[in-house]
Amino acid sequence: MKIYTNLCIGVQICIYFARNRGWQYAGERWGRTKITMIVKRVNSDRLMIALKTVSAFLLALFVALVAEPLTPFGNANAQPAHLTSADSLLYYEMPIVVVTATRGARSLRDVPISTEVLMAEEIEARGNVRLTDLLAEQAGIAIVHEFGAGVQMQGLSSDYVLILVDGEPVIGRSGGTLDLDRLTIRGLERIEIVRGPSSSLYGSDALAGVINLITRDPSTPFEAALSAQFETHSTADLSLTGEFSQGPVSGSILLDRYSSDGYDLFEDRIGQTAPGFVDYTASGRIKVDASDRTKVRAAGRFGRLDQKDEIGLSFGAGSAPTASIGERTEWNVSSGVEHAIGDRVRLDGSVYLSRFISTTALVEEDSRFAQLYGETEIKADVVLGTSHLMTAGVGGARESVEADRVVGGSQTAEAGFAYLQHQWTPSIKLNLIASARLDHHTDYTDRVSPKFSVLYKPVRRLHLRGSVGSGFKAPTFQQRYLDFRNPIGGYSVFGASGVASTLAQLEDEGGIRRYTGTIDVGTALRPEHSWSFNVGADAYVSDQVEVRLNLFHNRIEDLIETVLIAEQTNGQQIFSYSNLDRIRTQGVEVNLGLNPVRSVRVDVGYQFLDTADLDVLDAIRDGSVFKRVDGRDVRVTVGEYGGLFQRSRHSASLNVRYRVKRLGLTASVRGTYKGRYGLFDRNGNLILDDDAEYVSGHMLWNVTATKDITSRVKIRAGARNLFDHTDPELIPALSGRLIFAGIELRTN
Amino acid sequence: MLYKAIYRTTLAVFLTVGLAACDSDSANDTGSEVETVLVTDVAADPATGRDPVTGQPTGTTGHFTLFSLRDNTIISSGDNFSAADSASSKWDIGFRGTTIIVNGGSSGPGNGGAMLVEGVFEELTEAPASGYEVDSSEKYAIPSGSGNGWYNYNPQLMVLSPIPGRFLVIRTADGKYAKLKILSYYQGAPDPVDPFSDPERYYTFEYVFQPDGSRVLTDS
Repeated sequence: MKIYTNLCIGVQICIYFARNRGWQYAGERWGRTKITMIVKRVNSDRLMIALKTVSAFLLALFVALVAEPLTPFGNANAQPAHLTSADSLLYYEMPIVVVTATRGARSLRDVPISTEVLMAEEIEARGNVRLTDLLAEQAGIAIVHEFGAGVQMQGLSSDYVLILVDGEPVIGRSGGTLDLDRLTIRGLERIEIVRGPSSSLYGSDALAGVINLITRDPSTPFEAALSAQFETHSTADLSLTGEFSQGPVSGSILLDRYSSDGYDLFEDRIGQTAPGFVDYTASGRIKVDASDRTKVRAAGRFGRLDQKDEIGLSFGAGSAPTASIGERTEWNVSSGVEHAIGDRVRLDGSVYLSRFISTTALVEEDSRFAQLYGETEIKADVVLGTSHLMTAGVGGARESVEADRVVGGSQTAEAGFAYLQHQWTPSIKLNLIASARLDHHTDYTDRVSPKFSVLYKPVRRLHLRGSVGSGFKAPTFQQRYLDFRNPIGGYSVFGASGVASTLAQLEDEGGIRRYTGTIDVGTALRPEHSWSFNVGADAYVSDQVEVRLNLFHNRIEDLIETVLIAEQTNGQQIFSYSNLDRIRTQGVEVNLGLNPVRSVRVDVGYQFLDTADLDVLDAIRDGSVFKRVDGRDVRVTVGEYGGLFQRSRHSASLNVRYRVKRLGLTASVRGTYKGRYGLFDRNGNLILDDDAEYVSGHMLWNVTATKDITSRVKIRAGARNLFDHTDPELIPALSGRLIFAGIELRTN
Repeated sequence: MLYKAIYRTTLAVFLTVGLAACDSDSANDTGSEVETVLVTDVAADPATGRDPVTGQPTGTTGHFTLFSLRDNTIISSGDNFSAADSASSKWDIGFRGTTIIVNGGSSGPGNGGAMLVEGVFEELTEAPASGYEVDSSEKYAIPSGSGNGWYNYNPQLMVLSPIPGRFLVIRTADGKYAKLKILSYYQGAPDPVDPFSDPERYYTFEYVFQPDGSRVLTDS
């Protein structure tokens, strides 16, 4: 008993306590694991077979254990006897538990990996509807509109950020961007933002970090809520949520309809700047505590978008607009079982299946992109001695795409992975985590991603963090399988996996004039990979003041770029993809949190960001990059080089929340400063080196006020972009001032 | 607008000076002094229209526009295509779309060759003695493709622009030397370019031609 209590303090697994205190979520997440399905064999090799065999074996073992008749099917709410309420008091000062950084519950302040949390209360006070608007207000995060609203973290684009909903990956990227507008923030308990590489646990895409949207856990016997919010441009969000918790069974549903008429910043141009749309989200979750050792869960989500726009397709005089219809359908289902063996071992198996279909219809042609992703995983958490926690997982994934521009119309790939994490707390002051993951894939070379993190508390009020880790991003389906022939444009682009056979065929037909010889055709692409370093300090100066500082350095190599590989006899050019580029992003994040009085919370954040394409930097140092000034060419200097496009050197945010409990009133003011950033090249050298290539810095202000009329009725009103800042040519995604008002009704 | 007006006027003046210079050069071949010549809007097989449905350019002839550096004149072009002139050594350099040929090898009977040089145009005082590529069925002396040759294509702006710090050194059909820098690919050399309204495949370039056969290219 004593040992176990100490262990709890040491390792900080407050899982049982969390459950008993109503932080059921943390409890549920501890031991997040996945079992399952071994999919049809395509191209399997030894490693793949090994990974599958291991996961199949574990799955069988797991099922056997769960089915074990000795397991008491007892009262799920029974408190584990070995945890007394006296022990529980120890955790009273750790109100926030996070799960993303270690794939298990840890207290926010004690997790060695820099994590930021947005709690429901904060999310609600701002009155935002979609994830885009919420994240745009966060310090150190920028929203970049390219193929949708993508998140940029530590200067790395949306391609390198993994987005999870309840721990499961959101699929369906366009041009690398995962559009945050797809995600509603209704019904969330909190959002966890982990910065720095997390590939050692999550694999591909988690190179810059992970954003995990965590659904609220039902805590009342029954509750339903209806909310309606209306905004400028006929934007409306209607949502209905319901949740229940009856004995061992709990569940929740969400129905959301989000629509807008869009807006038009250019009256004289065909079509709207942002077209109107209707977007539906429906999701549901259910959990059953089958016994006090076994929990079963299932969840599903459905999303649908319909969009209609007009575009000027015709090149003739007096051209008439053409209708363009866009549709997006997505759904996913997941299921999992969590099972505890004794006090020291916990298993979790899960299955996840996700589908994403996007269609764009123009007059004559439809373009369709469909993706199916299935993943199964089994994970074990094992407590060793008094200060060690091991987590091991193994699983497989199968992914397929269907698209007009994919070789053969559809392609399938398989992946297997295994990871191991060791958390060690040698003393109350020191916390160490080492983790590594092996990713094996049919289409690209194997990848091992290690990470090491440390948290050291020299004194109670000072937490020092450091981590070094490697991340990677798998080549996209486009980079692997694209088959795009554009005779009008005079070029073709072929994915790296299909280019060799296509070229061989063209050569047989006598269609190749010459090869440019810059890359080895047919070489498998390597994943883009990185090394990242994060060093930080959190100082809890007093109960009213906390300061957080983080220095980061990311270096990504083998970035995949398009390259000219051959010329056809008809003069057309053939492009493919190759690992070419190297980039660097580094900077400092500073956050200051103030609670001057109980009713006021102030957060101030600032980020300094320095980025560079390392090859460009080398070329500038060599004196081989020029710019044209008044018809004369001059060498670009290192000082003139502005780094990567779409990155603000300086950015800052301010967030003030004022709550008068007596009046049921909450006021929230947020200011976001985005320093000048490069948009695109204008002087022919393709790099950012001229003042004319920048979008000037600007500040946006958002305000929201919420009033509780009764305990069941709440009204809200506010404005986004209060001072109506617009820059139609350079920032078409910025619509001008938006006024909104809404009402929320609850059953209890 | 004022800037554009001045720019256009300057171009016109340069052009006049250039032509005059050429005239004097051909009148007096002994002078070793060379002048920078500015040539505007050499049509490189431009499209005359677009297919209203596909947007594909129409009206291109497939012929190169052939240009004589010595005479600063167009020898043959799409509508006035001359097979005889095309097969002669009258021309030095040819343009069709983004592709540039020189009179030699697979492109013509001349002794022409070219190289793409990285550096400042004005700083090159003497043409290199060797290193000239000749057009062949395998490849052209002047590489094509965005970033490979003389231009970059910016997909965001949909604008093709000459790469600053790159120019051509050309051995002409009759073995003389010249250096040439492309300034614009759009009619009227607009700045900035509007890819929707400014017609493309029009070259504006400046060049220095050394008529005396030496490699001296000082622009004095």
